[in-house]
Amino acid sequence: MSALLEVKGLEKHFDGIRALGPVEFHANAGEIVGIIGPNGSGKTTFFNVTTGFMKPTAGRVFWKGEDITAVAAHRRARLGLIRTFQEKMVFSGTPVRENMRLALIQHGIRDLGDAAILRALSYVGLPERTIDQQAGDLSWGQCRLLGMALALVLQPQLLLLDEPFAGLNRIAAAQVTDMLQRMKSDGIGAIIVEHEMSLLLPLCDRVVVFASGQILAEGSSEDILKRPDVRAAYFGADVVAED
Amino acid sequence: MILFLQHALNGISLGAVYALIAVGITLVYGLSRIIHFAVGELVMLGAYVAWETWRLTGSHTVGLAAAAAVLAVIGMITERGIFRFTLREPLTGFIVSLGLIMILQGIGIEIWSADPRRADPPLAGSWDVSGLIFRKQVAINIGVSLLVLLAAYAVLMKTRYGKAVRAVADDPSAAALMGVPVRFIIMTTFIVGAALAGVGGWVVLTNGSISPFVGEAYLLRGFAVALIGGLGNVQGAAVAGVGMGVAESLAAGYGSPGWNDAYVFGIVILILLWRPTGLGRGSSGAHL
Amino acid sequence: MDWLARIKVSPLTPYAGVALLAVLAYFFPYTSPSNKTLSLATSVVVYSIAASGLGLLWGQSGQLTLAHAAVFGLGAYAAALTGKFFSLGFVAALPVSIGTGLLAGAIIALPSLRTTGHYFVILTFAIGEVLAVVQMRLDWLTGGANGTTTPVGTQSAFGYALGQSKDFYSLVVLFAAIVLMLVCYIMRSRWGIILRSIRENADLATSLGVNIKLHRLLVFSASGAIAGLAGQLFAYQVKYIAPTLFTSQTSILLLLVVLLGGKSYLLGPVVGALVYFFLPYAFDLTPIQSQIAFGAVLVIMILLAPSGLLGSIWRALHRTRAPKAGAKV
Repeated sequence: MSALLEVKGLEKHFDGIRALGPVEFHANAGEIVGIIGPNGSGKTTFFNVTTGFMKPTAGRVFWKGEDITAVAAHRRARLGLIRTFQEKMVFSGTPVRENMRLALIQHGIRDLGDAAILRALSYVGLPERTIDQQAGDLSWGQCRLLGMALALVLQPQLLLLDEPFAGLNRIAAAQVTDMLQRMKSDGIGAIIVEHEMSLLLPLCDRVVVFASGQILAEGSSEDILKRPDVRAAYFGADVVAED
Repeated sequence: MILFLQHALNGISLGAVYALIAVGITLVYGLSRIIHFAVGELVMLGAYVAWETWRLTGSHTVGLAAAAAVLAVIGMITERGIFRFTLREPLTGFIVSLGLIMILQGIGIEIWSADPRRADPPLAGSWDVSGLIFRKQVAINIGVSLLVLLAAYAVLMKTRYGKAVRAVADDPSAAALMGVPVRFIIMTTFIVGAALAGVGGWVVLTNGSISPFVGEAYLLRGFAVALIGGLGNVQGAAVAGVGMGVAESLAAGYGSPGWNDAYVFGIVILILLWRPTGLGRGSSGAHL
Repeated sequence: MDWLARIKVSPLTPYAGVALLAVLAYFFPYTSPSNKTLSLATSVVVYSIAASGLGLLWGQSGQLTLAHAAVFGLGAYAAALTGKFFSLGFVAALPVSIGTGLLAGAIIALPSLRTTGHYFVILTFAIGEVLAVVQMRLDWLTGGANGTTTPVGTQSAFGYALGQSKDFYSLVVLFAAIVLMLVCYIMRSRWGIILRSIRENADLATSLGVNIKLHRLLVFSASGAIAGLAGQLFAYQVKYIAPTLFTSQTSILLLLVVLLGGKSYLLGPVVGALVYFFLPYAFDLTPIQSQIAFGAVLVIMILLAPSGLLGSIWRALHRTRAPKAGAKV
């Protein structure tokens, strides 16, 4: 059986400098893959190229065995390959209701009534009263949850999450963890780029370590933590000491 | 051949003005990301300041100095009073500059009326180099523009201040971390940009006649040049300015002068279609 | 302001509001206004239509353009020239001017598929200026700088005598009512939600499967069609058009009208046009004085009240209670 998402020889150059690749990568249906690596190791570029927001310099991207390298970003989303953003998470100038309505429209749902919206909000753990608020007035953590709700309404088969825990306090982070676990038990696969190891590793079936635009290591959470080259490239003395 | 050289020569003097304006545009954009559309009106004001000073003192040298100085002050006032509030949202700054066009042009008409004005050229007569007519005034204009451009370039490349400007253009947050007063440096680019436009205005005055509507033509050409050079790229702007002047002069000489504006804008459109972020490598600009 | 909260907003309320406004405006000539006032009122309505097109584009989809006046001008020329050369009457010219605007809007949108933000705004400026030069230079067609006249004559359309200022005003109000209802429908439709999502966050919209290029093309076309219609009405109103009427200065003016009223509000362009035309009249300003004043207004509005007069009023009314969403569409 072929993987849900498969990436072969993927490379991205900026002004002749290689920022990513060559990368070989795959994600299976329902699997949660964590991507870790220091800043500038090419994780976000990997997301951008995989989801069609940037054209790769070389390499191919396959979705369910079909070559989607030339497929536009919005079409990949419709195929079920959906990403979130680290900072631009919501449509901040419009109410939460309208944010969600867009997602419903994009999923081809005719009824844009509040019932479906409230269901999605409660799935990610947003209180009902937020439906009337401007998305830009929500707290950072609530924005993150709303951003995930937008993506989840489209029933993705694979969700690419760009640092879902960044900038969150403990409570908000716990909410995101809850939501991710719910997703996992519902069989939605995800690729998660994250710095927050303690939050990420328990969620992952598999961890991939990026360094200087390439995959340095791959394995289960426990295996990865033990590898000395990974420690050297990424964790640093202080983080290791903490563990 | 003589005719060709003649056109080319006229073009260089035109281009010098474009280069002056474009360097100002590009400096302001490079650091603040603001597209300052009122720059044509700054040229117009510079020309009138030079004209008034010349009327009062009879001196073009004083006129040049006054144009640069008064415009520098105007640059500072507009930055302190308006543009600094728009640094977070550069498109707001752009719309502000549209409002400034209306205000400054209106003030120009109120003060100086819509009638064209002219000054006696500082240097009359021309040289005849084997059939090539070279107005002495043009030589002065090219000389002054070149000097000012070189001075600006030297400041930018050789001084501590220039280093700070380049640092802010490259990466404002990193510059701020290294102790560069980012906001202050951005303000100075508005001052320098306006002063360069003032010098441009002086050249426009000594080259012919001026009216409150003179700004528009220079606005579009200034931007065309800044785009060709790559927004945020000073050397590019200077070279492209001269190139644009020569090309325009040749097009006018051999083609139909009435279509000049269309040529210039056609170039802009083609460039933006071909390379959506302009030619040359522009800076990423400050994000405040 | 508790009473505000208690009003139940039916989906039909905005349409009823537009209809009421249109009825009031329609019967304005019966108050026997002076010729000057009536001509100003006609200008208000014509510019409201043109600015509504820009409001749809800028206020809803977030795309600023400085070529809107050029499209407006193309509509005007389309109406005047087809009348002059092919003796097309007002009604027959309507599809031509609307179609011209639609096509021009689509063509201007094409570069936006490649370049966005600042560069695109400069591009629209350049396109607008090129069109002005073309209008100026194609003497044989457009009459060049001297302009061309609209053959209004004794024509009448839908029972209104076009040469008669009261009749013409009434006709223009009807067109405005139709356009406003159409824009209202778009704003409240699924398409409106998609357009605003592009305005707010184009990348996020893309990640949710929105084809932003397609929708940009569509909204530019819709906005162009509205501008084309307004152009024809303008040509029939002033009866004489010249290239100088459609330069980037007019684009800035339209931008001011939209911003002044409130760019994301249905009635923003109407309020903006009212202020723009009647304020100088009320204060007896010369054209130059009003140019300076409105330049200042533009600067002040964008800095202090970017949501326009309607946005400021809305906020003032709702200061006492929790922000209510949905009213601003």
